[in-house]
Amino acid sequence: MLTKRKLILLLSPFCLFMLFFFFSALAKSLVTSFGYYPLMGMEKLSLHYYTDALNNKVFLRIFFRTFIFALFSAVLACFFGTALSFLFKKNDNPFTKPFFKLAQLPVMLPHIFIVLALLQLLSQTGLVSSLLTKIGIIHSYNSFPLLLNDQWQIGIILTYLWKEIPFVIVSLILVLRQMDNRYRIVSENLGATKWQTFWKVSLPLLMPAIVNAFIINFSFNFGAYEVPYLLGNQTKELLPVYIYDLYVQGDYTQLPMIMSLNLILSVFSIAFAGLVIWLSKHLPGGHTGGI
Amino acid sequence: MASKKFTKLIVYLIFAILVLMPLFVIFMLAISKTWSYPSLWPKWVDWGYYFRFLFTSKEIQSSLFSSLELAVGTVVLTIVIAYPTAMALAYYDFRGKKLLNVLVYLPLIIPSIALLTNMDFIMIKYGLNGTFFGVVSVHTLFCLPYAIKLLYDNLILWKDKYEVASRNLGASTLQTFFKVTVPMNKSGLQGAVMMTYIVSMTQYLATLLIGDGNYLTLSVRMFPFTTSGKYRMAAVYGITFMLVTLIPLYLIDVWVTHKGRKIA
Repeated sequence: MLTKRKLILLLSPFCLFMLFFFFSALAKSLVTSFGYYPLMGMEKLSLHYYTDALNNKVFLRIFFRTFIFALFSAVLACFFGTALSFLFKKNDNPFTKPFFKLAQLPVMLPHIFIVLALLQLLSQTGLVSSLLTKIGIIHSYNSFPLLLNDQWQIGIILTYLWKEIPFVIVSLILVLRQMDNRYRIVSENLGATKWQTFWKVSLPLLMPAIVNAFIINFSFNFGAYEVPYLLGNQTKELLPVYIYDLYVQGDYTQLPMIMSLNLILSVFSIAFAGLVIWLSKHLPGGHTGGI
Repeated sequence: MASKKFTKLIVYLIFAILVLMPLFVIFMLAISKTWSYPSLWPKWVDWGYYFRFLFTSKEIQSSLFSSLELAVGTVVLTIVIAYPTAMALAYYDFRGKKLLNVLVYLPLIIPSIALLTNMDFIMIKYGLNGTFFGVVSVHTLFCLPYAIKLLYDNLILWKDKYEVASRNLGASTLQTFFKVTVPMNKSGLQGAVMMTYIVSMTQYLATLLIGDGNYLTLSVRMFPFTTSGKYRMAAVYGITFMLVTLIPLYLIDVWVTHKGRKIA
């Protein structure tokens, strides 16, 4: 039944779709980033948009800031997500089922939803601030700390955690349910402590799923526009806002420069994802040993 | 043991509060007339306001329609592309399979701002910006990784054993697909459809940028209201969003789980 013709038939919709949209878009921006943009009468190929970008202090500073921010939020989300999944892994208590039902909720709602709630709750004139004033912990809304549109991106991080911890839980629970309990039992029979079993048996088995969720979260934090736009701080701009602003300015002579920035980001993200996968396989305790 | 159960209870309660609090705040915002600093509770709650608004406002109805139209289009296009791909990945061994696996995830790995500006650029060239097909294609690009993964995870469980049997017993390819493959992998298909629906409904920048403002979906319209401080209007759109995502998904879930499982 498995003929080569059938395989080609099965793969063709995906390949055609990717070729027509994804790769043509990449190719077009690659060509443009070399300075080939006939519409504006630019036809000379050069690498100077890349060298310019890599010497651009503002871009590099924003790039670095965004990277640290995305890494920090993704690590936090994966840490809490994994810990919570393990805590509620066994079906021996009445909370496991409602816990996983609850975890699906944030995955289904858009980011703007939680942003709106945070604005009502945590802004200086928000509900938490009102509550603290009422019970006399702070005197007026001025003394409530700036948590949204702040320098440390706290509002954005909270938003991402609200969305991503449940995402990690939802992606891990599928693996946890199918995970073979025998390995854990064997390990405990052989005298391993609970921690040893966790570190050397359960966690490595779960590693591919965690890494997967981590990469998706990191890339999202690194490149998504809407939340930094709503809750970001203008003096501590993040990359997506920076690029979007350049793009919508409508200055067509700037396009090759923007495309070169896009490609630098894309290549960087792919390389970073590759590095994370490589690390997860080669660090001690990370390899699954062919299971 | 008792203390462990207690810890779980506390963690569960904190988690539940953190997840549900924003939902509650949005709900209260949508039905309250004035709720601003420093009052802890809305001064005036009007339960009927939301529904009157939903049934009279042309704006909210049109964005509800845009959202659903795009979501349904995206689900159809995504499943049509993802199903054969997942089948190929689950049943066959071929050269370049690893590469294809990486390729599937690329749209999620490349920063969306970079991908979207590139896509906008090429859509303008194709003349597809602002069109239904253009927006649906970009949504599909972001949905494919999830859909293929969910379908693949399900298809790999039985591989093609039952399909081969069905074909040997004389069923046609189409009969085999609709009477064996799809029913056996119902949960994978359910997951893929739900995830695609959610991802399409929640898109903001893709819809706005590629759609040229022609598709003002629920999540797109929430933005200007939020930035201009009209939280109540934003909340009204948010509640509508919840109504059209949570209720249908819950119904699908109930329907699928109760409609007798033959295998598994």
